[in-house]
Amino acid sequence: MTALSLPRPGPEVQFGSHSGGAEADAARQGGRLSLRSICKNYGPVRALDGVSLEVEGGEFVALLGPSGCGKTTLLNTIAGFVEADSGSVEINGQVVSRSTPPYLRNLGVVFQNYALFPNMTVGRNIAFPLEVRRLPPTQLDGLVERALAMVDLSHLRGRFPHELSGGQQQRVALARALVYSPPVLLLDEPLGALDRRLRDAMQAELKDLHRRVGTTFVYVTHDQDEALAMADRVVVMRNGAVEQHGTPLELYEKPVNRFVAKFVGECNVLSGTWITNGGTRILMNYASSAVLHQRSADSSVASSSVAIRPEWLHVAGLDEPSVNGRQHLTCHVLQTRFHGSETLLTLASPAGDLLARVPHRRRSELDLSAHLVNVWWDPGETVLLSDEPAPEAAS
Amino acid sequence: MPDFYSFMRSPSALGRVGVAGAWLAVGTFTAVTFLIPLALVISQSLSHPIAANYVAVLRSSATRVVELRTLQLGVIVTAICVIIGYPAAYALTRLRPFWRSAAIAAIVLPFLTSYLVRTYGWIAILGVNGPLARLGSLLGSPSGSLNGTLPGLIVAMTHMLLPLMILPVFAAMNTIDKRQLQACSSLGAKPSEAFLCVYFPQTVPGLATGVVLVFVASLGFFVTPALIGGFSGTTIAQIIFSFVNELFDFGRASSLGVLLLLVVGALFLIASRFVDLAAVFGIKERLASARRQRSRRKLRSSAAVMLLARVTSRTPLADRIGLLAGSFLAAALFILILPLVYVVLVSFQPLRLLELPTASFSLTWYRQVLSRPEWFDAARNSLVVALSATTISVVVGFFLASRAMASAGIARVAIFAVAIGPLAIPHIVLALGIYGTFLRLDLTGRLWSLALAHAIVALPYAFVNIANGLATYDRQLDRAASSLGARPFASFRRVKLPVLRTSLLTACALAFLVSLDELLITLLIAGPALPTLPVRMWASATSNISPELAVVGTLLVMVASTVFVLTKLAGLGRSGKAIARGSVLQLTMSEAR
Repeated sequence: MTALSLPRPGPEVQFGSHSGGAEADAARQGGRLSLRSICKNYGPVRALDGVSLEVEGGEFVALLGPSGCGKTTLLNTIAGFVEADSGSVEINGQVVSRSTPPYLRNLGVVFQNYALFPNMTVGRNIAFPLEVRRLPPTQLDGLVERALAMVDLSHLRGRFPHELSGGQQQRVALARALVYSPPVLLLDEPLGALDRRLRDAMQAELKDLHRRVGTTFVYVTHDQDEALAMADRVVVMRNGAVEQHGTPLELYEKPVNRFVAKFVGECNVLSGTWITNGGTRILMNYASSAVLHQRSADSSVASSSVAIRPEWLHVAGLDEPSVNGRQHLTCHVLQTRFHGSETLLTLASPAGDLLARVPHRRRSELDLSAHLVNVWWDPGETVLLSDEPAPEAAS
Repeated sequence: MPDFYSFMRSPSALGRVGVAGAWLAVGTFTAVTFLIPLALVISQSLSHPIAANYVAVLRSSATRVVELRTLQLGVIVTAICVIIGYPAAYALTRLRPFWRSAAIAAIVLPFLTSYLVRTYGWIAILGVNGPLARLGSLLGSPSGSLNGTLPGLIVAMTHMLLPLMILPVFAAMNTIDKRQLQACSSLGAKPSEAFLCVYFPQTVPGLATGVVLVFVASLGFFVTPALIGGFSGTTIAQIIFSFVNELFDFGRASSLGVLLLLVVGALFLIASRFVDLAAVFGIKERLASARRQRSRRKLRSSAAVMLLARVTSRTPLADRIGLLAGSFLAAALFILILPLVYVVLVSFQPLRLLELPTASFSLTWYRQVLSRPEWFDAARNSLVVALSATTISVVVGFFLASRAMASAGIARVAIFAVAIGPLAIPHIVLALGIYGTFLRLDLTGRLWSLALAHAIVALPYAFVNIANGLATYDRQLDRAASSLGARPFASFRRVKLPVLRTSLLTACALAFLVSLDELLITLLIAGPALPTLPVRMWASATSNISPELAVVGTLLVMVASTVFVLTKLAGLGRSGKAIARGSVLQLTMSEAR
């Protein structure tokens, strides 16, 4: 019923108001998106398990997770391609009925393979959403031109999609989905089909585009680099549920569990046993007698594992004085991988294998010819992870 | 509770009503023209006592001779097609792209041209005044006419069926990565070992497809044996035809039809071990999506194969494979094109005897044809029927193909069976069933019922092309159109139809040409009351073989070439070359008549 009461976006909707470029205007334009406990089952498989999410107007949110985590299903329920079993989607406070078809939702969608219409030129592709909205041709032309200018493709207006490079097709897809100024733009792994170098360039471009148009972006990806680099907020999903959401910095520095720690950036996870030593409680790894974490005795925690990012590990040669009586582990160097600005070391320690990241400057001081190094960390810096019922090797 | 008004407004409900209505129409159509006829043939074959008809047709020495001869003819023609077609297809893969396209066009074009016209060409070639007989008398051994002899029939049938062998084998060979043979060579395999152990096994599905198509088509062949075979070449199709058309004996005709169905069914069963049956008819989408492919490893690396490879690698032939295959291709192209050329030449000479070569050029026979209104009436009937049949078959084909793509399991198999069935069963059986059904429903002798019958014959061609178009259609495009605000109908009209344009055009072209060439069913249910071009030509060919036929034939060759070129050009248009190449390969489907 609500589907029918929702007005179809017509010419009365303001088109192209993002062209002014005013930042204040931009903030107003992005739509607020609320998801309330959305569930979706495919037969016995629970694809979405009560997902709730609030997205502020103009925010850039990334849905991050391994394949099969439900992120694309979630995007499809927002877009209307998939009808949720229960739960609700609200845009700017207005409920969108579950059965509202996509063409009445007025949302923008960018597909992984772009889904440009092969039978239409670039210009016709971009004009398509305006034509089906019965926009007068006079108005239409200017909007298409502005959308093309926005993605810097004005010179390719008459080309067909198959005559464009992957990056250009990507930009046409963006222009097509933004030309009618939808309140929310949904992007389904839009950079997945591009090669590495182009992907980096498009990341910068997308972020810039988001800043300019101010539309709310919901971006699905399995690539954590992409999510961390572009999004204001990252939502990590697994098994149809949200594991953690927060700013990229929060996720990186304070992952709540092993899954998030491993999925967002590389991470060493070590576990130990709590012992109380005077005023402090210490998490001790018995195999190596290393202190993993310490905190005051009055705080109670059930968890017994910590996350240590590779760059939190200090690495020193055996004869270096910097160890200075600190508690340390002597490790065997199993493998070194040179990445230019940094070097990754795989180390065999008494506590298990460790991954360490050494910046280039430090690496040049380090003598790796002995294949033995000393490693230590600050027990105050490590992050306690909540214990999980079933530690899966999902990452 | 939603009231009726909002129920109808809701797009999914409206869609459901529409789909239900379409199912009703399509169901009625396929029932009347395919399912009921098939059931009728089976039920009519039974009598009291139950198997009396079968006993009669199996006991009678006359019919038994024909049955055996039909099988024998099928085996011989299939074998010749394999021997010529396999190397010819191989040579095709080694041609440069331009020449390859030209050669494929030369293979497909005769295939699209009327059977009657090409048979007529062979009659002229094989006749007393034809080049073969003249060559014989020049060499001092006058052979006379080859018409009415088994060798003549075999040559003509090889011509008719060769494309059905070359095209699927070529399609299979074309998917083999050339680097595989380089890999074989780098691993130490001799060319003959590489061929037998790596190359040949990958062509088996194509070969199996070709064998099935050629053999099944040869079993139901009517026109060529009737005109060229003479008494020594009578086949089952002719006997069935004369049982119903002259003796009105549906019982024995049906029992022969069921026997044919059984042989064909057994053949498909065997073929399904080597190739997915959907692939036999040129459908890219597999019939059973996740079926385990039965392995065909028997040929792979057995000791016998290695021995064979070692022996053949010593023969001097091994070095000249390219040349040898090329000469087979040349021979194949010659056999395929010759009758078309001959028909065109005959139409421009003044004599009544089909004599060539002749120095004189004349338009006598063109004037003759243009002065006779019955040819125009026939052409008009043919055009009306063909256009209606094309429309019906493409619309029904589109609907069934969309449903097949959206369904799975038994429903999918059922849709494929109904849509492909009219092509998979021998044409004479379909004709027999439709004749019986239309007689009972009093539908004979009408233009629109003839169009319905032609539509079911053309349906498989439309279905296969549209299904292949849909199989490569990116369904994200529908979602994209919807997300951009296009309602389902707008999305269908502005995105789906234009993107599927090439497939639809090919479907229309094939359906049109198939209907234009349909003879058997038309003879039975329309007859002299509603003569189409093939009926008129048939009458002319069976009574007096006049060069008027060559004139009409030349015009039909031109129609077929025009349709073919137009379809190719339209496919080449904006959507790129790949699609055009696909549409040629889609012509690899069978013609089972």
